[in-house]
Order: sequence, then structure tokens, then C-alpha cells
Amino acid sequence: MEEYIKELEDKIKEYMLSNKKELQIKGWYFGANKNTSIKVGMKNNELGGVYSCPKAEESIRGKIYIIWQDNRRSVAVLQSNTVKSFHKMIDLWRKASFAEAEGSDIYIEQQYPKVKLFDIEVNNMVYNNQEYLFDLLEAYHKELVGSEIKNIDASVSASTFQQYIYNSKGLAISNLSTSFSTYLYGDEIFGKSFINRRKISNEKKNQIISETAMRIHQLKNRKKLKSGEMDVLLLPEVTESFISHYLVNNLFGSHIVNKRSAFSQANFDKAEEVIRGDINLCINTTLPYNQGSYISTFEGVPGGEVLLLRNGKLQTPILDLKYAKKIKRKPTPIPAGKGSIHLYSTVMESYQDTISKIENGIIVCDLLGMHTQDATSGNYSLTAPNCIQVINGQLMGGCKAIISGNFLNALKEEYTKLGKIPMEDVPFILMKSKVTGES
Amino acid sequence: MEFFDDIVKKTLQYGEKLGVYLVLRIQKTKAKYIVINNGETEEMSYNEAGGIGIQVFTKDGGCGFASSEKIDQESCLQMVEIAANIAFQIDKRGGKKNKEIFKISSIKDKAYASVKYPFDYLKIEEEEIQLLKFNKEIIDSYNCISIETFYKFIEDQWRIIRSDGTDVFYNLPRVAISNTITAKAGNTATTRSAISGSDASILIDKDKRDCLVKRTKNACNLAIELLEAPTIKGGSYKIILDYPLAKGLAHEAFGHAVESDGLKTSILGDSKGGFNKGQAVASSIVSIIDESVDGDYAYQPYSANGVKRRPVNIVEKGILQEALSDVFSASEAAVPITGAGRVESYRHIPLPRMSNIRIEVEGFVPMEKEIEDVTPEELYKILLENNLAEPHEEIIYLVGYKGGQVKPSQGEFVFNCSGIYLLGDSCKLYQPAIFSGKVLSALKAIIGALGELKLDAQGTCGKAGQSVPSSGGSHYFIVLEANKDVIIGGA
Repeated sequence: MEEYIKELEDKIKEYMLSNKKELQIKGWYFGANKNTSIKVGMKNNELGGVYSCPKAEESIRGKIYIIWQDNRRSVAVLQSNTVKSFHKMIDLWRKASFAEAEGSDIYIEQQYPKVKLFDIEVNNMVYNNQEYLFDLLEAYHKELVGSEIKNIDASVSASTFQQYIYNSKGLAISNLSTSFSTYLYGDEIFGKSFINRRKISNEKKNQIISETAMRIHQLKNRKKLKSGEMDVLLLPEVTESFISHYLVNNLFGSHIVNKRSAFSQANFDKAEEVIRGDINLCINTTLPYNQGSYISTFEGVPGGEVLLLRNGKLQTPILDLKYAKKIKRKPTPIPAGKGSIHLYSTVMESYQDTISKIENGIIVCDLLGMHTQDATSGNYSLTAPNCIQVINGQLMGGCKAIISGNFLNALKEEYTKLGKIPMEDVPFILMKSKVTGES
Repeated sequence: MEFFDDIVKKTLQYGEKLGVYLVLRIQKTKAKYIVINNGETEEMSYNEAGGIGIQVFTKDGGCGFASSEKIDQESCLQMVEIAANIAFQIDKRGGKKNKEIFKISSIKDKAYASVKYPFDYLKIEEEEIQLLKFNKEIIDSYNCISIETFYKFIEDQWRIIRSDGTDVFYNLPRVAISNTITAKAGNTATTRSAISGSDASILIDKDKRDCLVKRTKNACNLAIELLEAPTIKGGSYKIILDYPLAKGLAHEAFGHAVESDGLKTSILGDSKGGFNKGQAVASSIVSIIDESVDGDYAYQPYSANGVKRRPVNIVEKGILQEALSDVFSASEAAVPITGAGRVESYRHIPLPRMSNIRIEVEGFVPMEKEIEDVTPEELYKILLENNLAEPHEEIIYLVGYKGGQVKPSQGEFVFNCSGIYLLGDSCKLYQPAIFSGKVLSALKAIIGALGELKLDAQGTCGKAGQSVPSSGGSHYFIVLEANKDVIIGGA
């Protein structure tokens, strides 16, 4: 990979010379990853099979940004063959260049964080010994299938990345990272997943297995649900999809500047309170071994921690170089996968206490249709095929519900609670919602 | 692609030496993307990529897969070795086996899409000029909307080779312009418009350009009206769907549920993976067909396993007839192979998928106007005139597809619209709300349709982490009677 990067840099530099005329490059940055991965799957209790057979992959992926001498810009994808066909590609990239009046400059910081991203055990799974991957699937099968659960689908994968972030101002970051992911899904009703830069711990593995078994048990005894306004508790996976869709989507600088957000630049300038005062939202891309952690964005912006909402008030949009320049603010780290966005309250409730206080409500275990919702309005109208009905603090059984309301408004309500479930990074949310049950 | 002949030959020979059967999938892609935001170019790019996916089967039916971006001899041989080792591991560990690929006939063919304007007909800067002009025309017509126009023109070239001598070439050109429109005045509302095809005619030909402008202005007007629209009460209603939503119904409620790889857990299959052929699933006026159409956004003449794709009559006059099947799961489902295997890229494993799916309704009411010109009030009038509605009956009309999802195992599907009209002499607009239902109830609720077939509702279908182009449609409008299992969620 070093060879590829060296050759790529040399070829780019060749085009920084004046003899290249209209192909002369003024500035550039790129990010490139060499990824080697292995994935093993289980479908309908059977290991492998055509649709979930073990897969091995090796690839180089990346992105390059070019500022030409006449200030036009190009963005292009890098892959294994790019270096070999560089002279042809640069001509095509130039033809696809565009004018960008307020285009970003090449960026470098004095310091970049040290972030733990590499796990030797995961690396060994990729290159030396894949036994653990097969063993994990067998453990899922052994622990779950037989009694109440008839069928599981599962997968596990391990990846190693060599990452390079270079630019024309001398930035040259290179590092190794790993990724380990797995999911488990039982009887097509409930599932859990895990992704981290380290191998799953035994404790977490056991939690995934036991929670999957417990939820399937709770969901299988189906009940009819009466419609009306009631308590709705969003499990962490569901909360995460709400945060990502309704909060994060509305905080991207590009959406704000282009008026495709619930919030405007003026809202940020005035640090307006848009959710309740005890709730905060931050990006943190430097937590050790988090999947969403990194040293630098491919633009050269260091990873780090930044508050997007402090005490319910807007602090900064999520800004890449272009939109930071447009609205004259500092660029921020960009969310990059699971674990980089954190929603929390100064008052976090316990799960058991919260359940015991619910007189009439549901626990939402999964959702259909989040991607179809209008994030800008905050309105949601979603089908939750698998909920658990709660009456007077008791879990009654599984039910289907359609929940509707406005998530941004719910986060302003005094009634709404955030809380922690042990071993989960994302909180649960309890809120009031309109619920339509099956008649 | 013939360029790879020598590599292919040596790779197949190496497979033979290792005692394994190979399916090679070579992909070369070129793509142009343009994003225009409120009258300015946001980003523009041209990319070329490609690679090879190698699926290996041992004699016992163990399967392994490896892929690489490098289509050279060294890399291909290495990938065969890795995939073969994995496949032998599966044999050793007693994993699931599949020998169906050994039973099909070999084929050699070339199937190229017919396009009026080839990929390079317009330079990317010419495409940019056209899109800027369109985007500015819209933005200048309104004062409280923003519009993002996204253009993509992709041409995939595929070559599928199997150890049995199969060698199939095909290309998949596709183009789409989609707009995200946001109206903002205190409240905020977002709608969409789109047009798609297989070439740049959507930018060049006047009728298509005019159609896009009309669709986009309708979407802008809707977004502005939604700013003041109330929410509708959740529950069961008599419902009118426009054709993109009807495509959503066919796709989410039915298409996914008859894909042969999922029949074991689908509501339209049995626990052994069999298919419930002969089951009455709709009223006798309803048929559902999946068919790859030349010139369509989701064109797919051959499966990614090198099997010719054929039209599939999923439902014929209300009766479940055929599944969407591929070589690997057709036998288990006891259905014929229809060549439905599709793949996102060479890095993925093919799965049975839809291409262009449509609902056809017998005895539909013809319409004179184009669908884009029909107002909700006119629609209501036509429904009354044709006895598809009673005066004072509560009927809602859902417009604009915004995506959907399905859980075939539980027979649950959802999709969302851009807005809801309560029909009447004077129609009232409500906020969008999720349309949710049971697979086995939804089609039975169809009682009629209006207008000719329109099949260009474009989308992207996600399944098992892979996205492929999808499309389809129906008559301009279909009519569903109120059913307790088909619910509008409220907003």
C-alpha cells in the first residue's frame, strides 16, 4: 500500500508543474484505505450457503479532491487501478471539474489526536486464524436454537484497514485500524448487532444472546393494542435511528446553508434552545476503539469532540471545510459510523424504574420506514411491528403499533426522559406519542 | 470486456485444477454525478471502477466467495484459491451445500440495451448546463423553496462466466434526475420529484424535460401547501394511490414476499421454503407482473448468475402463480428458475430481486389527461362518475412515493407518501403519514383503477446490504376499499 500511496503522490506532484497547462494542479488532498476483510454468515440455522457464504475481500478505496490552477475543483474516487490509469483519469477528472466560488482550501492542523483504532486479535482473524468467526456463529446457534427460538440468521466479520490521509500542505497521516462486527436475528422478530474496532467481549456477546432470547420470548405472546396517546419507550437501537434521522440530518452545514434543515444559520448565531435544557448532543470521534473514531477526516480536519447542542441550545452545525468557509465557522469532526454521536441528559433515568412507572405504554423494539420520513419537519409516522405492551409496569406481550408525532417537539417536552441500559452506549428515550393499534 | 479472455481462461483452468466450479463476475462501471443546489453546482464527478467477484463451489456444494478490484492474472488466481479454501472449510464444518449450479445449461450471449443517446453523447459540462438551467427555472418560480437536483448517469458492463462454458455479456445503462424540495416559512416540509430512464433523453428530449418540470412544480406546490396542512387521524380509509405509490405497494407488499431465497420465512411460502402457488391473494381483477424492460432504469436482461431473466406473472387474476427465483433457491421452492438473481456490484453475492414490477387492473377507467395534470378535485369527480366513490364517502388520496420497507416473515409492509388529500368537491390537504398493511389484505382491497399503465416510478431497492435500481408502476391511480388491516398512521 505504501507503494501505491507514494506513486499516487508522485503522479499528483507531476501535475503541479506549470508544463501541465490546464491540467496543472494548485492543491490537493486525498484519503485512501486498503481494506482486507472476511465475513461469515448463517442463514436459517445453517452455516454458509450460497447467500451467506464466507466472503473475503481486498480493496483500495478513497477519495481525492483537486484544486486546479484556475481554481476549478474536482472530486473523484480512488481505487486500486487509479494509479495505473492516472494520466487518463486526471484528464477525465479535469473535464468533470466545477466552479466553486467559496471552495475550501487545503487544510492542516498543528496537532492530530492519538486514537486507539487497532486490535491485534481482529487483525489475526483477518490474516491468520478465522476459527473464532465460525465459533461465534456456532455459539449463537447452540445458545438460542432449540427451545422457543426456531430459527436464527447471523453474521460476523473482521476487517483490517491501512489508512492514509495526505495533502499538498504536507499532511501525511498513516495508521492501521481494525473493525469487528456481528449481528444476530432470531425468528425474524428481534435482533441485536455490535460493531467496534475490537473483538466483542464475552460479556457483550452474552448480553446480545440473552437479550435476543428475552425479547423474542416477550414478543411472541401477541396482544391487541388499543389506540390512543401513550408512553412510548424507544430501545437504544431505535433511539439511535431517531437521533440520526431527526437530529443529525438537521445539523449538517450543507443542509442549513441550503435551507434544507429544520434550523437556520440565524438559529445557530443566536444559540437558540431547540430541545430541552438538560439535553446535550455531541460528536466524539476519538473514543478508544469506537467504530466511529478516527484521527482525521479525509479533508485533514482532526478527529475530536464537539458539542452540537449544549443545554438544548444550538452550538455549531456539522461542518466540512466547504461549509465552514461558507458560514465562517471552524470545521468540525464529521460523524463517521456507529458510536460517534452521543445524546445525553444531565438526568439519566434507570431502565427498570422507568418501566415500573409506565401505566399504559409500549416498548418499541424495531421500526419500519424511518428512511421515508421528513426529517426537516420533525414529524414521524412509523410502523413498529414488534413492540412490547406495558401496563402498570408489567410487560404484557408483543404487539404491533403505528406511532406518530413530532420528535423535535418531543425533545422539548418535560415528560420526555432519557436513560441508560447497562452495556448500551446509546440511551433509551421515553416519550408520549400517538399510537394506532391493530383493530 | 473481451480484453479479459486470457485471464478468464487461466482462472477457469486453475479452478479445474483445484477441483472446484467457478462463477466469475467481471464488472466495469463508468459514472457521472452532478449535484445542483439552489442554482449552483454543489459537486460534479466522473468515475470509472471495476473488479471481479469469484464464487466457488466444491463438488459437494460448499460455497466460498472472494473479490478484488484488480482484474489481473495474479489477483484472480489468488482470489480463486482464497474462495476455494473457504468453500472447503464449509464442507468440513458441515455448512449448507448447494449443487444447483451444476444442473443448469450453459449459454453464450450478448445483450446490450438499446439507447438513443449513448453515455458519452453529452459531455458532463453540457449536462451541468442543462441541470443548472432546470434548477434555476424552478428556484426562480418560488420564493420560499430550496431545491437540490441530483443527476446520475451510470453504465455498468458485465461479463458472467461459469465453469460450464457460460459466457454472457450485458450492459445496464441508467439515468435519473431526482429533486429534493424543501419549503420553509415557519414550518418546514420536504417533497420529491424524479424522472428516470436509460439515457440522456431525460435531459435532451422536450417531452421528458417538460414532464420533469411539471412534476417538480407540482412537488413544489405540494411542499408549500404542506406548511399549513394539519395531520390526519390515523385509521382505515378508502384509499387512492398514484402509480409511484402503487409500485411501492407491489414492490414492498408482494415482490419481496415472493423472492425464492426468503420463502422459508415469508408469509407466501412454507417452513420448508416452498411457494404457496394457487393461493388467492387479490381480487380477480388484479395481476402483478415483474418484467425487465429495455430502456428502463432497472433493466436487467440476464441474471448475475448468467441465466436469462424472463417476465414473471407473480399474481394472475388474483391467484399467486410464480415466484421470483434464481438458480440456487428455485428447486427448494419447487418453482422454475426465472433468472431473478441481481447484484449491486462484483463485490456482492446475487440474490433474487425484482426489476420493473407493475400492478395491472382489469376494467380500468381510461383518462384523457396526463397524470401530472389531474387535480385532486378532478380525480374525485372521475371516481364519482365511474361509481368508484359514493358522494360523502370518506376517501383519501395519497400522492408521491417516499420509500418503503417490508418484513415478509410477518407479512407487514409500510411505505410513505408526500401528502394526503381528503377528497371531496373541495379537497383538503393533510401531512404525509405512513401507509401500513398486511401483505395478504392489501391486494384484496384493490377494487379499481384509472388511467393507462405508467411504469417509470424509479427507486433503489435495498436487501441484505445491497442496493439495486428498481422501478415499476401501475395505472395512473388504483383504488383500495377500506380494510382494517391497511392503516394510515396519522402524523
